Amino acid sequence: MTLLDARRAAAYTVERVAKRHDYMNRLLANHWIRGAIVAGPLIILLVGFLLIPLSIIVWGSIEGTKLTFAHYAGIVSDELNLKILLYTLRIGLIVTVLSLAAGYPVAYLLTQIRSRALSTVTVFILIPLFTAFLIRTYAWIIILGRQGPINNSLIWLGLIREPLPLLNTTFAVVIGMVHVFIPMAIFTMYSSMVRINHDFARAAQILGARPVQAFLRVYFPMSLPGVFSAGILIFIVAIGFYITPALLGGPSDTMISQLIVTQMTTLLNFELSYASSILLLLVTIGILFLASLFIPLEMIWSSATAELSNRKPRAKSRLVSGAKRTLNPVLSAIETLVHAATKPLLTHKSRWLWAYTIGVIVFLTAPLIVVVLLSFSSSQFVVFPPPGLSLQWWVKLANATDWHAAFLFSMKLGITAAAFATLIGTMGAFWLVRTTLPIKRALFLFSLAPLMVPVVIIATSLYVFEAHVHLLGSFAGLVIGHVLLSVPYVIVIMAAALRGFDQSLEKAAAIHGARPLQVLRLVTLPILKPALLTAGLLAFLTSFDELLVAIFLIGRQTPTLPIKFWGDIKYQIDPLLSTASTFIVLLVTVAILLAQWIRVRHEKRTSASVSE
Amino acid sequence: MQATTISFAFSAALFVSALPGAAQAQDVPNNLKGTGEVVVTSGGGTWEEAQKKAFFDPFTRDTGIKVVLVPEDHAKLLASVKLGQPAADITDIPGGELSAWVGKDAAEKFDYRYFGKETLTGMPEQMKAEYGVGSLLYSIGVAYNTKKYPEDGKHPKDWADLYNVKEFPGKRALPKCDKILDGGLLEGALLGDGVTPDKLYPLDMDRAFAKVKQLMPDVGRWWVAGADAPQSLIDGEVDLAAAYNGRINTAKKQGAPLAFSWDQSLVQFDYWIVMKDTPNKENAFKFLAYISRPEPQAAFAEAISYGPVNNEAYKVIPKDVAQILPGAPELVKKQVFQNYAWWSEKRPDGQTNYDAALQRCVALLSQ
Repeated sequence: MTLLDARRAAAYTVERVAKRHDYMNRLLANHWIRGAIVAGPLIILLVGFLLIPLSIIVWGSIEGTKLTFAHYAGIVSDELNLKILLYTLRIGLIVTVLSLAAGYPVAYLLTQIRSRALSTVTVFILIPLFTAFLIRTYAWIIILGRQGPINNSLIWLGLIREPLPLLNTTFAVVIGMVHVFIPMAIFTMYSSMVRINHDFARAAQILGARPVQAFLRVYFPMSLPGVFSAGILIFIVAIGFYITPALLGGPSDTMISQLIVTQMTTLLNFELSYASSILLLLVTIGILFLASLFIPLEMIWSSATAELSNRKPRAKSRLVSGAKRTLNPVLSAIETLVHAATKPLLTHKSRWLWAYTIGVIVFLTAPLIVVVLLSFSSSQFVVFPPPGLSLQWWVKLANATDWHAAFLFSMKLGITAAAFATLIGTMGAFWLVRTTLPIKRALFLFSLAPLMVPVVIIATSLYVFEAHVHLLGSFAGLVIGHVLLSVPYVIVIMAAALRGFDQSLEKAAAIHGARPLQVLRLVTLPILKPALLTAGLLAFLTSFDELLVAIFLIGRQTPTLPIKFWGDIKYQIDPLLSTASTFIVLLVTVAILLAQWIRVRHEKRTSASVSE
Repeated sequence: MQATTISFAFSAALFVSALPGAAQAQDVPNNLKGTGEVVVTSGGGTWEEAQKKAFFDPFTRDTGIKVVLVPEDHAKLLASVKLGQPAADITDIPGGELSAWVGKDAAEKFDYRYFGKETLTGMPEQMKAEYGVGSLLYSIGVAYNTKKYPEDGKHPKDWADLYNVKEFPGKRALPKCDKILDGGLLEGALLGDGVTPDKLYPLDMDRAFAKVKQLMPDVGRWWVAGADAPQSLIDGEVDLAAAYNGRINTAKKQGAPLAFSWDQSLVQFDYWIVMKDTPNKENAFKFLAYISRPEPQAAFAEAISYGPVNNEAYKVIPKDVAQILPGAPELVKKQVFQNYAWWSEKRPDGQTNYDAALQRCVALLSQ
């Protein structure tokens, strides 16, 4: 072949590709077709693998055409089931209130500090946030144990003689769950509090308000929507919890997720488990409905997208003003009291806030430190503090082929799920942000549905559904489950990024002759790159950390890392688990630092190009 | 050309026969060889290690069939069989649960054609059931931490002592409802309440649950897996425990300060069952035929001190090991045999005693 031929062939290929592109571009010019292509995958995912499985559950709970409500009646009339439901709600409430109260001062501090300090503190909160639930729960098993650091130091101090029974109690469940939710509370509240202008409170003080008054009457009410949305988010996740109560609680600490799983598996009563699932779902929907009277629902998952609607919920303003009027005298009294008590603290406000924040950070990271120290233990058994140092568990981990297999499988699964979730979610976000359909808000909420449905319901409904369509136990089936769970995060991140995106850049490119696909490739995607990376990382971590859906969908494959972990915690708590955990904590830390670095670099670059 | 092929084949054969693993492979009947995989549930910890050493690794080496381990979760396994897509091919269940699994249509009928003649003659009738083959003999008994109760001093030795909080203070570990049968929860409670072994069955459930309820405040750990009991004894969470002899023995060998008392220990055995309509049925039977032979049975008994289901294995097992296996002649006199017939008996309401006990247990512990 001569060089000329080659060139001609190349030119031909270019032409053909161009032709194909032309065809694509013409198709994309029609906004209905474009909408269908962009929204299609997301709609198929949500309808096919969330709505249909859920309707199977609803259908099954009334035994289909039999239309019997006996199973619902059975739950409500059974004292034990009712008790479990109430216990679940009670724990949810306790955990929510504690997490909000503990997180609020930290979120407040974060809004006031400079960016370098901010990134440092954030990293310390992000690392526990992204460390698997199971690892943190495992750490609490060690810490709260009869020979754990708490009991040991209390005995050493002479405060107690016999170790306190801390593990396998409701107390342990609450501690474990609060530990999980504090970072979530901090970030959710921070993201809405950062928008509040501190000048208002300052102005109030200049006009003569005491610091407490300025805070309670000016700042605090403005921060309430953020607190409220964080509370709702935590509450609905908390009532669907499975791992922590199962591992830290005693036999009476049964939450409804465990009940659903027991009914479906141990007792093989599918219908009863369907009915319990629907009951849990109804409770969740009820809570969300109540919440929607006070705040726009999408604010719960992303305050950045809350501006989507400018609708002011009227119920809220009425309630708030009513409450203000009746509470005014009480409030004044409280203020005077609080002022007297907090005066010395508030004059050195930031110092106290800093001390408190460091306390919270210690609480959040101490379990991880325990795990890290234990991974170097010279003992054959889990004893803390370790009697001596040794690398034996690291050597064991290096030779543990089952752990390697689980790790590699989880990586493969996480990467596949993250790739699909990012693709589907980004396309969906484009559509949601740029569509002109009047039901935009409803569609956006619908796309977040996997976050509203408790995970146990997603797991069991997909289990039954995938068995019907013979997907159960396949890799694809597992990927679908994880994509479903992580797609809402991608949508939230990408929607926020797209809304802050200057569309005139795309128009400018188009005016200069770029076709839609070229615009996408050369303008849109490069600008969105950091958001895409963040979304992908979050999707990956969601899959990497996920247990319940995987337990049901995995079938006969290599277990994922969380499943391996779960099995080993149940069978044998040995220091090898600490070593594996330490390894994962290290990975998460590196990932977070990397993400931070990419973000900072991108910001620097974009701000530099603007100033040029 | 041909000459080189032959000489290559010859040297390859020489090389292969020189490998120790391959030499053993010749002892394995050809009908056990195959391809593909067999999915087995695994119980984790020292148990899994012993199984790997005695069963899984040699089986794969000798037959070419891969063994895939999935975490043991009987509850989920049952659900998956009900859905028509079993999550594993083989699992190990307590002997008394066999009829419950068969009743739920979860077990496959056994095909003993894969089993060698000598293998079958070495196994007692009970171990060759229609829907299951014996897997091992074990004992659940009273174990304790020797730091709290020295072995040469006053120490708990039977169920009465486990339930006697006054004389033996300290937290206890008892099996959770999932293990109500093979953890001997009810038998232990009745023996602890003074019932003599010959009057044990039929179990008085009311009396047993009342006794358990009485001890509940002193239970520091309700275990679900065999490894939990030794672990909670070692880390000080509890001082006394109902535990399996093999797990305690292995931990003891590793240097843990533990002891196991054989008095009134309950002798039990497990069955291997093949899941109904499972895709690797044939490989499953090959696997079970392979590990039921005397040598793997002996290797397993040596690794974890559980009794073999094939009596021929005793010819291979060293004497000192044989003495501490459940069912060994010296120990039998002290032991109590669990009555599986009673557990699978149907009650007037159609439930088996096992199902009824399970339900009551879940209700009691959730209080």
